[in-house]
Amino acid sequence: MKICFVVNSVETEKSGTTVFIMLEAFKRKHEVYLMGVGDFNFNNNQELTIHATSIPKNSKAENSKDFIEIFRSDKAKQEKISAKDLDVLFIRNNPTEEVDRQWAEHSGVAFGRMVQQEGVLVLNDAYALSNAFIDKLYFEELPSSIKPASLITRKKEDIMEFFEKHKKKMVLKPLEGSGGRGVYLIDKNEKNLNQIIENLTAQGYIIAQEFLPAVKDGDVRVLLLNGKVMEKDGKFGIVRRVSGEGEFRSNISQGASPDASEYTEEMKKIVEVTAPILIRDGLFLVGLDIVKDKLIEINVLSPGGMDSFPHIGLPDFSDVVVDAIERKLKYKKDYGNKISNRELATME
Amino acid sequence: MKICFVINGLETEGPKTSVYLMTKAHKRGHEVFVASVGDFSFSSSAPLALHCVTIPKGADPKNAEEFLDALKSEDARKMRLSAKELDVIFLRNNPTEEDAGRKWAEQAGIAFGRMMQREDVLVLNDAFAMSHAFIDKLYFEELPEEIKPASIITRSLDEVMEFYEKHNRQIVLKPLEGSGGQDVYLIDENEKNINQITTALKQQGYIIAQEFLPAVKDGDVRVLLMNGQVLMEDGKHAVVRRKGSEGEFRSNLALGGSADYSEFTDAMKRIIELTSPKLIKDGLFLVGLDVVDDKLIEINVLSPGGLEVMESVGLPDFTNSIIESIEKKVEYKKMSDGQITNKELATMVF
Repeated sequence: MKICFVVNSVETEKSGTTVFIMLEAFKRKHEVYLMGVGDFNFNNNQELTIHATSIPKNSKAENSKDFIEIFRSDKAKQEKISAKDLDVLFIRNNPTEEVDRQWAEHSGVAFGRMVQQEGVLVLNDAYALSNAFIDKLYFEELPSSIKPASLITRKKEDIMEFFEKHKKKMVLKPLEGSGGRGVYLIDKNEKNLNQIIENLTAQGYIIAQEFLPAVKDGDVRVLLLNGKVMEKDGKFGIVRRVSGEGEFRSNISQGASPDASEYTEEMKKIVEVTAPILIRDGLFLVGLDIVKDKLIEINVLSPGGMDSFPHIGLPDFSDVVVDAIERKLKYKKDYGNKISNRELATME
Repeated sequence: MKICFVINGLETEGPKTSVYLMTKAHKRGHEVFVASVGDFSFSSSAPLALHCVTIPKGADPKNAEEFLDALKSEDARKMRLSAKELDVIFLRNNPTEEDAGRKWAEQAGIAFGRMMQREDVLVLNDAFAMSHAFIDKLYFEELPEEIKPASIITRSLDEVMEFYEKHNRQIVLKPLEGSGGQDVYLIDENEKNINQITTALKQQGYIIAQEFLPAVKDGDVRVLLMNGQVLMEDGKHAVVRRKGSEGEFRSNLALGGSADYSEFTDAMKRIIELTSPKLIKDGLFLVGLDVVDDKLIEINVLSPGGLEVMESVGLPDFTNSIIESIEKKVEYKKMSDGQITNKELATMVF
């Protein structure tokens, strides 16, 4: 198959989950392309094209780090390909990681929809990604039984009321953001509450969330494929992220370290409650962040974590992902447009 | 009915299309509320709410200016309304008019609009469709070729130059995301700064290059569509010509263009015929089309305006038809008992 991965940009791509999946596809002799969100080309009387980067078929890479370097080396080839000629477009750019490139935030999803209209299998479904674009709002569509109490507002009074109601302990964070930036733990000793609220309000909407004491043990990232937890040889695609000393945020980018985790009954319940919506919407690869019996975040735009698996004795699961994509193409070949992109995106 | 208009912010709102509609809804006896994109309030334990403003008790503004003054007055009433209490939310904020420092405001209206829609409030235009049409110049490109000028969307300067040569060295360049004529350049063979211009545009994101239409010297025509049909009143169509000022090819009124009466031509009719099925399918209730001769050059689905301009060229008041259409949607929604989607209702003709 011809598969193209959309990332923020070829130059800045790190050797994380996306590159793991690329490498596996490459090893299976698929034609693998890489592009930045700025590399689409629309022409109204021709086909949609892409300035894509590829590497020689005989390239050798020991690991994902070496592999991504080849795409940045002089062995890499830049060419203009027709979007229609692709079998799969995998949208893996992370809008919340863009700095000073506001235009880039929407481009991946917007052009992804156009590619989808041309009949290419697009993962995750590009229309669903538009609707889940602010993933913390999408999260709030899930049943409240699996979520901590929360509030989304720009009114200070509403936040103060929430603070009192939840025994003067809560987490504040911006509605749009990721990687733990701007996430504050507020308790009764906080002297700078006003300043923090002002700072967050200037950035937009604020989420106030009930503090979960269990967060001291970190959170668990659960990777879902087609609405089911990733599974291979009886092992599950989950990783606990334990935050550093004196830090309540468990983001790896904030110094947290990965650890193995059981797949608990509570997690199973959360996945059961979440999956129907993900399947309905065609969200193929999704990351859930769980603290004990509560879902605290859902990540639909370029979820990661697969790169942590080898560190905790898990397989990297990229073969499971590529298997699933290959199966979808088989279904597509057999049924043509009788199955929609959305249905196909989460079909087992 | 209880109707809430969502706008960028009261401070920046002028007595234009949105306020015209508020005024008419008020005159027809409805309860009219106004909120800015920052006024939604979600709680996991209560229905979604909005911090709204409404005019003082007993106030009876006669026109849009007075209505806006009343909203801004000290006696204006502030209240918190829940989704359960509202019949309609009319999303009228314009993301492209937000300052750079309010990036968060661009998506908020539509994102919370979708939540309101899930809570069974009638949302116009359909909030899911607005997500898809968020970059309206890309949505535009989904329309049939016959009615559009040749164009490319790219960040490759080579592609732009190739297009320039192909179109006899006369093209228009503009940013993919933007409005009001800002950074719209006419490039011809005398342009010495084409590299500088394309480089500057590229820094802002994707660039659209469009074939230059000579007919643009007579300006463009704004056509207002409701439910996929051109708005009409007393046999007059809601169309208005906008002409650029002397030596200016951009016809945006914000740039000093002037308004003029326009015929409703067969070419416009054809453009609407080819555009409306998609608008109807997607639930885009109120839409503005910008037409040059027989080509559609832009489509405006996020807060289209022009009513105040139409008034200035002597056209009748179209607000009655718009509010009446919303009233019928609300009435029908109540009777349909959840059997009809927001998308269907948004463009349904009664």
